[in-house]
Amino acid sequence: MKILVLVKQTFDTEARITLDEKGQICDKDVNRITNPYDEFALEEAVRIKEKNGAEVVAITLGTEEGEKVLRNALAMGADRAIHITSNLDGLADSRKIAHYLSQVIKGEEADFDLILAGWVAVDNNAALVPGFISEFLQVPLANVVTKLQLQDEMVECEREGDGVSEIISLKLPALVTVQKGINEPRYPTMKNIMAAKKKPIKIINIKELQETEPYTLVKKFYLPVSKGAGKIVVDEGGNSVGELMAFFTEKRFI
Amino acid sequence: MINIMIYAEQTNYKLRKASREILGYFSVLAQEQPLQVTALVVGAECNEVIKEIGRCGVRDILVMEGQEYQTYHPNILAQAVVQGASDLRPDYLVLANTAVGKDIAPRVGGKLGWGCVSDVIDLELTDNLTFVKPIYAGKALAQIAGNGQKPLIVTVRPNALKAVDPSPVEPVVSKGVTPDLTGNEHLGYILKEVVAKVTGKTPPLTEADIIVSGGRGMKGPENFVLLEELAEVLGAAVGASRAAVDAGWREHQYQVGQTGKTVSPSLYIACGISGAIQHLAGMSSARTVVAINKDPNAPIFKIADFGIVGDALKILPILTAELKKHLKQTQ
Ligand SMILES: Cc1cc2nc3c(=O)[nH]c(=O)nc-3n(C[C@H](O)[C@H](O)[C@H](O)COP(=O)(O)OP(=O)(O)OC[C@H]3O[C@@H](n4cnc5c(N)ncnc54)[C@H](O)[C@@H]3O)c2cc1C
Ligand SMILES: Nc1ncnc2c1ncn2[C@@H]1O[C@H](COP(=O)(O)O)[C@@H](O)[C@H]1O
Repeated sequence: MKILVLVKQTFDTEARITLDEKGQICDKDVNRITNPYDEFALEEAVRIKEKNGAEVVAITLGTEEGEKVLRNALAMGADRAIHITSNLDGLADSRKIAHYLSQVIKGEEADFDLILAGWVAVDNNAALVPGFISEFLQVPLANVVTKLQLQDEMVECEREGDGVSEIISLKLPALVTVQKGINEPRYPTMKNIMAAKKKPIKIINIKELQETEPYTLVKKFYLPVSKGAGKIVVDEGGNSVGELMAFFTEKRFI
Repeated sequence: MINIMIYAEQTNYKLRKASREILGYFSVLAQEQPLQVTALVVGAECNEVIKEIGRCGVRDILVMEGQEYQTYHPNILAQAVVQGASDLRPDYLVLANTAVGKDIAPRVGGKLGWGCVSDVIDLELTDNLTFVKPIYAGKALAQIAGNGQKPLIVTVRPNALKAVDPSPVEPVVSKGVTPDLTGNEHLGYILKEVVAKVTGKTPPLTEADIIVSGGRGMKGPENFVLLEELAEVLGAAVGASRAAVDAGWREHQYQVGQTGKTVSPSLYIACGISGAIQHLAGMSSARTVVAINKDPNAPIFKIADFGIVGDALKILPILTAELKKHLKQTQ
């Protein structure tokens, strides 16, 4: 069995966002992490490997710093990794990203049984790349999955809808995006971090691949205007409630 | 003329609130601007939804009715939307950024060869449409446009487009051709069971107009009753911080924040929540924020429109009682 895991490098969720003089996102002092949802995907892949045996391949498309997320994936238990190097950042057009990832998968990795991905990336909040990939590869897709079980030629998934959960069976090969709650990702041990340094990362420059246009363009970035501090009341024995009621009335909530 | 097709999502034969917002918004915009707005309805039984779309001010409706749409199947729905979009050739296909909208938008884009921008909170019309979406969990915003070559698929965050007053119209319905899926219904995706998670009483978190949310400061799961009681009076949904979810007091689907739900209610009441950056990420687009926290230095007060420094466990019951009293008087 061969499992591909899509991992994306994102800004640390603690990162402060500023714009440079050209109005671009300033990324100089930003710490980068593996997209949190992709760690759930990695953990799930490694658990399947430990239980049933499988080859786990981590794939990322991104700048050179992206090697960090691949080393992390290898330390968590992936066997090898593929890095599509490019200067496309985390906000690049989703269809374009999916086009390149699919192209590489269709090439040498076309014999996969399962692709795992995070359901959304925390930088662009897009939740689009896996959907496009499922179409480009013509494989069934279950999104936002919180439980997963392999059965013969199928994978059974529990997925989150709006106010419902659905049990779904996908025919392999398939693509599954995972949601928090599916597992607790492990912290790689020192020994595994060291071992990961020796595992292979194949580098593919994006220029070697068939090009595609972006379908969306960023016109500009801006920072939200802060509202300014509101009213603060110190409560003593419930006296604040009257003031809050007045506030609700003023704002027409009641 | 810009041609806009809006996928009108339904649950239980009723138009979803998030779709109603989009339809109303565009129908009002079309009164002043050169827009052709068409709604696409796909379902097993669409009469009620068609009437509701008329009340949103959208006259032209393309309907695909059939038993195959009774239960949600992403491939079957995506095929139908692709068919509708191929027939109508819109410049923009707009969906609500709900679980269904998110699930099918890139599938439809993949099939049609169109791009997609998701989770939009605002838009601007000049020669073309441009869209505003929060990035880095709302810490910045990006203005995004299509590439001018191909139509664009757009998903809009619930509660984001400002409330408007559309003028009702009499719907004009045309029947769409249902795509033939014979022998190919499942496409490797078999729905086995649907389990309802939320009772009809409270609105889903992402669409709720008011949210009462609790964090570690609520001290234990038993105290969430205080939030539920307040929510009931206000017709609100109950959310939680990650600390409360990780402690097992609340299910993950109620978590608000960067690794939970992104919400944009009119009113967000944060109780015993410190206001960590990852929590703010999920609720900073709320129009009004009220915070109750013991600690006067809690970061949540920096973004609160109204803050109470005090014990949530003591204040909540008084607030609920006052609201009940107020409602009785005004009824
Ligand atoms: C990658 C990543 C993703 C994350 N995603 C999320 C996310 O999606 N959502 C999220 O919420 N967090 C998220 N977090 C966690 C976040 O950093 C905080 O740890 C979390 O939000 C804290 O929850 P809290 O405010 O309930 O608890 P605390 O920070 O412990 O705050 C409790 C607050 O309650 C107050 N308090 C105590 N007793 C009372 C009382 N009786 N009455 C009133 N106030 C009282 C205290 O003064 C304190 O301010 C994430 C973290 C990381 C690293
Ligand atoms: N550049 C990328 N490289 C590898 N995987 C990616 C990339 N972008 C997105 N993904 C995968 O797709 C998921 C959803 O991302 P997005 O559609 O950008 O929100 C992520 O959690 C990853 O698993």
